[in-house]
Amino acid sequence: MSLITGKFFIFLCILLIVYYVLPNKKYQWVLLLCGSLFFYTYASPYYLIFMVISSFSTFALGKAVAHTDNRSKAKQHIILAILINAGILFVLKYTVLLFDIAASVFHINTPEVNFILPLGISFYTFMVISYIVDVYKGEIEPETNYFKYLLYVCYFPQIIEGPINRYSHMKDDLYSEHSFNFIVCRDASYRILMGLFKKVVIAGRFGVYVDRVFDNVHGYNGLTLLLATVFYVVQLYADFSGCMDLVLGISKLFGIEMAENFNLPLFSENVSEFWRRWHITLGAWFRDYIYYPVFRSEFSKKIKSFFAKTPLKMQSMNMVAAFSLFCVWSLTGLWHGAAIHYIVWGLYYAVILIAGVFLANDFKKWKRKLKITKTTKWFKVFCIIRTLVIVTFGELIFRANTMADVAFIIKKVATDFSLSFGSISNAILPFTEDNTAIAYGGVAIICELCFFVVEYFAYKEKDTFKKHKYANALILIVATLLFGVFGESGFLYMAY
Amino acid sequence: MNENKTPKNTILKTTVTIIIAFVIFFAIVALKLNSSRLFSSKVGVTAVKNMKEVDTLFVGASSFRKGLNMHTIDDSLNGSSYMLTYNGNQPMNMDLEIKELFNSGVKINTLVMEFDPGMISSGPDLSDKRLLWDIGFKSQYDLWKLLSTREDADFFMCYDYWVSSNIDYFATYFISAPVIAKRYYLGGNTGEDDVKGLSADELDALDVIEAPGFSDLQKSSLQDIINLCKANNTKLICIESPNYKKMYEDLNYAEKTSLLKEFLLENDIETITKDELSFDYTNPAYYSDLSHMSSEGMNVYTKEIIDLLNR
Repeated sequence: MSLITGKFFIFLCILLIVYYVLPNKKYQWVLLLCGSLFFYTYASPYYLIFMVISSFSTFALGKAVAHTDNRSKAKQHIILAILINAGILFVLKYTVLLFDIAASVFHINTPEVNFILPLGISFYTFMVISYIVDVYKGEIEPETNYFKYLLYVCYFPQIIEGPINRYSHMKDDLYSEHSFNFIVCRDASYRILMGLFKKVVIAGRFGVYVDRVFDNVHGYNGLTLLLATVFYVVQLYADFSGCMDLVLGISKLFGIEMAENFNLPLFSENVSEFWRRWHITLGAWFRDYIYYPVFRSEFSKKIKSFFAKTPLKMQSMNMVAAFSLFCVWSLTGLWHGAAIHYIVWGLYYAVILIAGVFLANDFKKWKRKLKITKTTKWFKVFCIIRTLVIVTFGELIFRANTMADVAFIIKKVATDFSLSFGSISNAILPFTEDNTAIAYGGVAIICELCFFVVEYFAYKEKDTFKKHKYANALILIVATLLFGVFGESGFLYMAY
Repeated sequence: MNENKTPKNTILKTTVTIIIAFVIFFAIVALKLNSSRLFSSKVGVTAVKNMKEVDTLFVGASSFRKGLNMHTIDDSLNGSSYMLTYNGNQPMNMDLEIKELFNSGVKINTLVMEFDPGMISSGPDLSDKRLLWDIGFKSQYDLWKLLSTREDADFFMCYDYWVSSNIDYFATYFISAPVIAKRYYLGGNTGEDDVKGLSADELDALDVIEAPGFSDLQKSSLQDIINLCKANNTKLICIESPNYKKMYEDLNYAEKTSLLKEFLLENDIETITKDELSFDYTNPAYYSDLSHMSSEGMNVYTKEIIDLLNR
C-alpha cells in the first residue's frame, strides 16, 4: 500500500481516529502495532515471515546478550544475530547477482531463482542490527516485551523507505501515551503537504523526462542526456526527501517524532558533508556500525603498524581511514542493489572520499596560500557547485541501466553537445514528446526553482518562508492539486 | 481533544486556508475548462472558429499533418485552407470537432477528411489532450461520457481529463502559446524541419500491430460527420495519406481498408485511396516510419493532392 493512494488515506484516517478516541491511551501502541502489521501484510502475508524471524531473533538474542556477563558469549550472540539477519538479506537480495557472476566467470549453468524481496527488508535489517549492537555496547536496555519491539521494527510509516531509526530514539515516543493536539497535527499536515508537492509535482514531472531518456539513451543528443542526468538528481532528491516529509509528517500525526533524513544536501561544500546531509540515517548507521568498528579493529591496527614501518608512515592513519571508507562504500553500493553499477557507484564515492582524506593537508595549504577562509563567498559557491557536479556524475552511474549506457552518455555529452535552437528544442521534447513539452517542462522547472529558493532561504537560516505557513500551505495545496502527476504511486527508494 | 490548549483562531485560520485553496483550485479549473471561449488560438478548432469561413478544411491525425505542406497548399490551392489535426484523431473525435465548428456557425466549403483505416477499430480514446483546450465545455462533457465507458476508466483518468489536461498550457499560456503557434502554419507543419526517410530495412524492421474490425462507435461517428456535411452543404472528400507498403501486408489493416472504403462509397462519399493516387508508397525515402512521411514524401504527396483538389 503506497503512501499516496486513496486506500492508504482511508487506512490512516481510521487509524488516527481510533488512536485518539481510545479510552485507555496506554494501548495506543497496541493499536499502532495492529495497524502496522495490517499495512505490512496488505501486500503479501509472505513478507511477515522474514520480519518475524528478524525481530524475534534479535529480540531473543538481545535479551541473552544483556543477561550474560560473559563478553565472549555475548559476542557470539551478536554474531549469530547479525549472521541470521544479514544472511537473510544477503540470500534474498544477492543470490541472483552471485549466480550471474559465477555463470559469466566460470561458464557454468546456474539455477534460475527469483526471490521476491520482502518490503522494507533492507531498512528493518539495519534497524534490528543496530538494536542488538547497542544492547551489546550497553547503550540501551533490551526491550522485554516482544510485541513492543515488533512495533519498533514494523512501524508502518518507516517501513517503506526508512528512516533507519535507532531504538533509543524511538522508544519513548512509540510506547507513551499521546493526546490529540491540533497544532501538532496542523504542523504534521503541513509537512505531509510539502512531501506530496515534492513527490507528485517535482519528482513526478522530472521523472517522466528521466525515464524516457534513460530507457533509450541512443535516441538523444548530448544536451538532452546531460539534462536527464541533472534532472535525475532533482527527481531523486524530491522523491526521497518528499517521501521523508510524508513519513515524518504521518508519524507526527500520532505524536511520534522520527529522525530527520535530509538536511539541505544540495548546499554541501564537499562530498563528505553531502553524505552527512543526504540519507542521514543510513550514513549514520554505516558510520556507527561499520566505519568505527572497522577503524578500531585489530585488522586496522595491523594496517597502521604495517605502514608505520614504511616510507608512508606519515600516512598510516590515513591508510586505516581509507580502508574503513572502502568497506563502508562497498557495502553502501551493495545495499542499494544487486547490480554491478551500484557497486561501481559505491566505489566511485570511496575513491573520492579516500582522495579527500589523503589530500586534506594539501587542500589546507592551498587555502592558506590563496587566503581562503570559511567566509570567502566565491570559494563557498565554487565548493557547492563542485560538489553538485561530483554528485551528479555519481547519480549518472546510479541511474543508468548499464555501465555501457554510462560510457555512451559521457561520450555523447562530450562529442555531441550543442546549444543551438534545434538542440534545445529537442532537449525539451522528452517531457511529453510533443509541442506541449515547453509548457509541461516550464511548470516543472518553475516549481523546482521555487522549491530551490525555499531551501536556499532555509540554508541561509532566514525565516522568510517559515513566517508565512498559511500562505505557503495555500500555494502548496493549489499547486499539488493542479500540477501533480497522479496515478503513479511508487517511491524510488522502495526498490531498496 | 485539548481545545483549551489550541487557540480558536488557529483552527479558524487552518480551515479558512483549506477552503480558500479549494476555491482557488476550482476557479482555475473552471477557467481552464472554458479556455476555448477565453483564449484565442492560432491552432486547432478555436483557430478555425475565428476564420468563420474556410474553403478547404483538412481534418485528420498526425499522419495527415506530416503528409501535407500547408505553405505549398496555401500558395497553390484555390481559396483559403486550414489543417485541423490532433495526434491519434479518431472519427469519434473528428465528429466532435466538426460538430463544434458547425454549431459555431463556421462555413466549410470542402471538408477533406483523412481516410484512416487504422482508427476505425478503436474504442473511445483521446491521444491528444490539446483537443480539450479547443472545444467547449459541452463537447468536453460529451467526449467524457464516451471515454468513461472504457474498461480502464478510473478516478485518475477522470482527474487527468478534467483537471490535469492542459493545465500546464493554461499556467504558461502567454509564453507557451506563441512558441507553440510558431511551429504551425495554418494548423499544419511549417515544413522547416527536414525529416529524413528511413531505409527499406529499417522500415521492414518496424512492427505492424492492427486490431481487426470496424467499431460501432467509429462507424456512427463517421455517419454523423457525413450527415453534418450534408446538412451544412459541405462537400466531403476522403483522401488517404498512404502508409508504407508494409502496412498493407497486414491482413487486419487490409480488411479495415476495404470495410471503410465500402462504407464511404455506400454513402456516396468521394474516396481517394492509395490505389487512386500515383504516390509511390513503396519508396522508403518517402517515410520516416510506417505511417508518417518524410519531408521528401510530404512534398510529393502535397503536390498530388493540390492537383487533385484544384481539378
